[in-house]
Amino acid sequence: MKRAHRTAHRSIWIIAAPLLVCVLIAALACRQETPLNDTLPGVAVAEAH
Amino acid sequence: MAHGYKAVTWTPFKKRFDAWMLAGVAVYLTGFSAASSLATTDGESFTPVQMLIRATGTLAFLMLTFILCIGPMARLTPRFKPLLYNRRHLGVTTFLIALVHAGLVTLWYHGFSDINPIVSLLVSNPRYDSISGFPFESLGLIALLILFLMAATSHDFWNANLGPGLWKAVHMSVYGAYVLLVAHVALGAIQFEKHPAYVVLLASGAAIVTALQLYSAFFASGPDAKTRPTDGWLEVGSAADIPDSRAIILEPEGAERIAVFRNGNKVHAVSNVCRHQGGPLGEGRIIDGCITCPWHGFQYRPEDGRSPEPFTERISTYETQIRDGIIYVNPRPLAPGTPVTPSLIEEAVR
Ligand code: FES
Repeated sequence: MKRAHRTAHRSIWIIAAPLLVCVLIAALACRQETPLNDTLPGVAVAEAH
Repeated sequence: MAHGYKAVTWTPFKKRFDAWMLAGVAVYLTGFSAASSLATTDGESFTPVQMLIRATGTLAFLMLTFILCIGPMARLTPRFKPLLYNRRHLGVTTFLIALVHAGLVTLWYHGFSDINPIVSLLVSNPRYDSISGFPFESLGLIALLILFLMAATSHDFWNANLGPGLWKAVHMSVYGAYVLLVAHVALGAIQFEKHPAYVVLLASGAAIVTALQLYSAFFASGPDAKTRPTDGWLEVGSAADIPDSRAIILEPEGAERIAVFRNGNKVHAVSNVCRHQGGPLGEGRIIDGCITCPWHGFQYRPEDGRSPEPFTERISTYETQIRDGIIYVNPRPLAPGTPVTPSLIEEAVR
């Protein structure tokens, strides 16, 4: 790899590594018993099909 | 190599690899459906389409995770090097599987909407301020667009036309796609799939990729030799330290790396950057008298940095000298393809 790409690769992972950790922790911490998302498969969708 | 864009030829190994890959995809999709049916708890029932949505989604995640492990693993063990040759096919297949996943989701959950299904996918949930209710589909869609861009430009035609630098920069966006994909799964499937296997799969996949990429970025890609200028020449080390047909990689201050190869009793120095996609030539070896890139097998003659006929690639060469058994390299690159007389290792040093 060229120098510029090695530097870019390092910089990307300096940001990406903590970002991934934060996303995973936040997602697991906010997990709910009953999902909130409207677009999840539900009875209405099943009926529509 | 640059001769009618036939850089990476369709070898029997590639054909076998593709056959195994497609067989693996079929086995996974069938196995996932069978395993999910067995693991389904009372009260849960999935249609075949919903099953396929899950199967293609998990497969695309696993494949992208695997692809991002190949580069660092090839540095840890040469056994992974053949996979470097075939990353492109894996990448394109991953995009196609992700496309099937996205297509099925869009048609299944938004196909009956009054508005365009894609518009419906993007606007039906505006809760961007929520974590558990976040419209994760938009993250997946951006990741899919990045994978499309990469799949569409993966052919050597694009590498040749964009130039290796820009091409590489475009393809580094795969890391962004991976972060988006992890967020897509974490804020999507993880929020409503109850089976712990999903959490284990996501967390372990992301942890392995992150650990390997950090290892690759900070530990595995360092040069073999620290360079100390002596009379304007860089000290490489003892000639006896370089195994035959292999190289030591130097990193001159503020310049591109140099690969110093030993070919029998001759020492040659060339640029460490392959003309194809910037592969690390110093991690390759000399095969049939040519320096062979470890990534896709481009070859260069050690004495002048030129690819053998009919190919036309050229890399920079460097002057070398041996004093008291120590190799020195002049850090000033010569014009790509310039012949250089090799330094000879004396019998006593060998
Ligand atoms: S052969 Fe592809 S980077 Fe060298």
